[in-house]
Amino acid sequence: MTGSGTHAEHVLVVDDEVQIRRALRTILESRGYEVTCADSGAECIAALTQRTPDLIVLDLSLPDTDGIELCEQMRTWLTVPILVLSVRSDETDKIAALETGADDYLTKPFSAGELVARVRALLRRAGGGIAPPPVLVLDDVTIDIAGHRVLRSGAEVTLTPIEFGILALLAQNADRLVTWSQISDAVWGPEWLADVRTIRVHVSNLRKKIEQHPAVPRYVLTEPGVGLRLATR
Amino acid sequence: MLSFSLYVEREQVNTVGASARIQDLVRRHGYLAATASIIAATLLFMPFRHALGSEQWGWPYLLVLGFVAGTAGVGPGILSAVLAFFAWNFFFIKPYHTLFVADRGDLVHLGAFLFVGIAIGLQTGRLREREVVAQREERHAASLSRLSASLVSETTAVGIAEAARDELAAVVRASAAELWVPGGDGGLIAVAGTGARTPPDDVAQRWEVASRDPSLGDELTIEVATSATADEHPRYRIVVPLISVQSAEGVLEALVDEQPDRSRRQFILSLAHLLAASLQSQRLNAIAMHAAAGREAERLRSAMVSSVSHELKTPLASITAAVTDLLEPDIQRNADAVQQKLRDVNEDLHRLDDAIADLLDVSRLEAQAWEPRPTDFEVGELVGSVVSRMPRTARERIRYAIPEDLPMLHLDFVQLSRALHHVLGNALEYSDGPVTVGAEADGQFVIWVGDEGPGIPDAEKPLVFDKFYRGAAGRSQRSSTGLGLSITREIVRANGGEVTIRDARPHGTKLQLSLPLEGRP
Repeated sequence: MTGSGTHAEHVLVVDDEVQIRRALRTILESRGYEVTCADSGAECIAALTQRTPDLIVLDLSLPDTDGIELCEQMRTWLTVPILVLSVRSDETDKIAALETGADDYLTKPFSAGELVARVRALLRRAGGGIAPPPVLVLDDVTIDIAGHRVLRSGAEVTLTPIEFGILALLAQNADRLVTWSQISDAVWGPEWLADVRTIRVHVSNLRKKIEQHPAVPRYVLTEPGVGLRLATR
Repeated sequence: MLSFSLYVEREQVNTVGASARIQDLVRRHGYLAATASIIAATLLFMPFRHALGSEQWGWPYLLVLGFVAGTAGVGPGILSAVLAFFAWNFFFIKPYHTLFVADRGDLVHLGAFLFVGIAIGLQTGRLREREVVAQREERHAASLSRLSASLVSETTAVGIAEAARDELAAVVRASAAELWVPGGDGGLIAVAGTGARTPPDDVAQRWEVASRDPSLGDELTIEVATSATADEHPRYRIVVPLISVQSAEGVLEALVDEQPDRSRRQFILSLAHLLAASLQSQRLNAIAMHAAAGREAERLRSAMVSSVSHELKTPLASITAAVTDLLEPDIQRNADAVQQKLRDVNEDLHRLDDAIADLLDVSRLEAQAWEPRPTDFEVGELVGSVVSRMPRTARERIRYAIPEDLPMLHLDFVQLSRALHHVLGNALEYSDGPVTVGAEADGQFVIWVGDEGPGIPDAEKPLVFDKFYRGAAGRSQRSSTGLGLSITREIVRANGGEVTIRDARPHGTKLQLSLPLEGRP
């Protein structure tokens, strides 16, 4: 199920609520992941010294540590993806966590499907060995990253290099949050800091070319204050 | 502490009393005016001494003394009668320039003139004085009626104080007036304005006595002469406790230029009574409003409790029932039945989540703990984000009327998606047909949601934004906290916009979120 070949991928779940830990363990283990649980920041650090997981699912409200600080601290020596869990009223915390190194977030309550899709997207990106699917087929749009082509209802769509760069980045990270600065780095290069408004102009043009209702996008979704996400479901 | 001195500008006194001051001069210097009039008349008559017979010169003098008595009153009238008597005798009755009267007939004329002149002086002067009194009473009455008219529309103590000050300045030429009312700590504060002035000792003392025994009423009025320097014309300070129906409401303090006579004193007391009544009604109104606000808060609290317990407990009860049923060991079920039950549970969970989200939003908005955090976004992104979270059956009913070239918005995306979620959810719920989401920018940015449902009766339109209000249709149908549109309005207002309801054609409802278009640099 995990597609990782020889060994099961290892997920560290950090949450102080026993019900959430139990639910996450059930959902992830039934899909072939190996799960370790920690109920506090201290236990999380302890678990990390034992063994480095492939992914961390981190609840932002922990009894002993500030989730954002923990996230920042782990980022200093860990490169594994971090998926942050937050409640609805924590929008600002969520954005802060993403700025300090988290890779994606999920708002409670979430469905098992959403959780698994996020976990898969993050692991696919992180597992260097696993190449992204060279061709991504959405409903009526086909994105052929290797072939540098995009088809809509069978007809080829002409994109500018920047538009294609953005779309390819989103497709490689399908279902995953891609922040504005990641887009800027990947498309404009790390030495050039593209303005969010500039990126938005290109995204707006891209939507006109691939979306059915460009005014009400279905594929290229905006994550308010954070970045973009290509929805495949 | 509030404090304010309602000192009237000098100029204002001058303009208000310009004509009054001329009358005042004549009244004050009436004897001088009487003397001057007779001298002037004599000088005027002299060249024509031979035109009339000596006995006839009494008539023109009668005219002059009538005029003096009519403008200056009784005293000057009598003085001018006596002066005219001598002037006529001295200058017009032979032999001239003596008081000796040669003709016996002239003596009769002179005697009759003195008698008639004094009678005219007395009578005309009295009439004049009564007229003056009547005019003044009329001014006082007009002033009090003006004041009571403006007090009806005044809702603040500051307004009351200003209206009273204007009348005192106009009628009794008060150069300053202050209204002292009890403050929060029981002490007196001057109404409106700045600075921490404490009341003068006599004001505080009168207030204390009046609050202890309001039945003393007008007896508590103080009138004292004050002057800043020894040679200055003394002014009078008047301190009147404001007492209405056995309760002391404050103290009026006024500074006037001269000692008030009976009629002015009466005017000041009447004005004080009016102020007291007005302050009392204001105080009682405030108490009544406070009580009404308390009742409204209580009503909302109990509506909140009943809505919360209903909206949380109903899905919880049905989930509990379904799950405990599934847990029963003895019953055999096929997989489809289990799936169906779990789908029902999932639906109830969504309802529970919605209710909790509503309550969370309301408490955040009420506590003002949900400041808008504006970001740039396109309206379509907002609509897309809201629509993508709706169930498929709902999504299929939604139509779009969103042009592509709309400007970008700079508002709180999360808040507005909550607002649009409620508006769209309402439209989908209260109608069966298609629901259209549209947007336009013309001066401001308008996002609208139109349905083809039965519409909202005009009488209900203002009510739908109230917390826990549900339309007639909604009451019978469903299951929501009744907070949605109230949340929507709070959010839209927090983002500088307004929500309005229109009728859609040919039937249905169009709900508009009018939002600011930011002119960004």
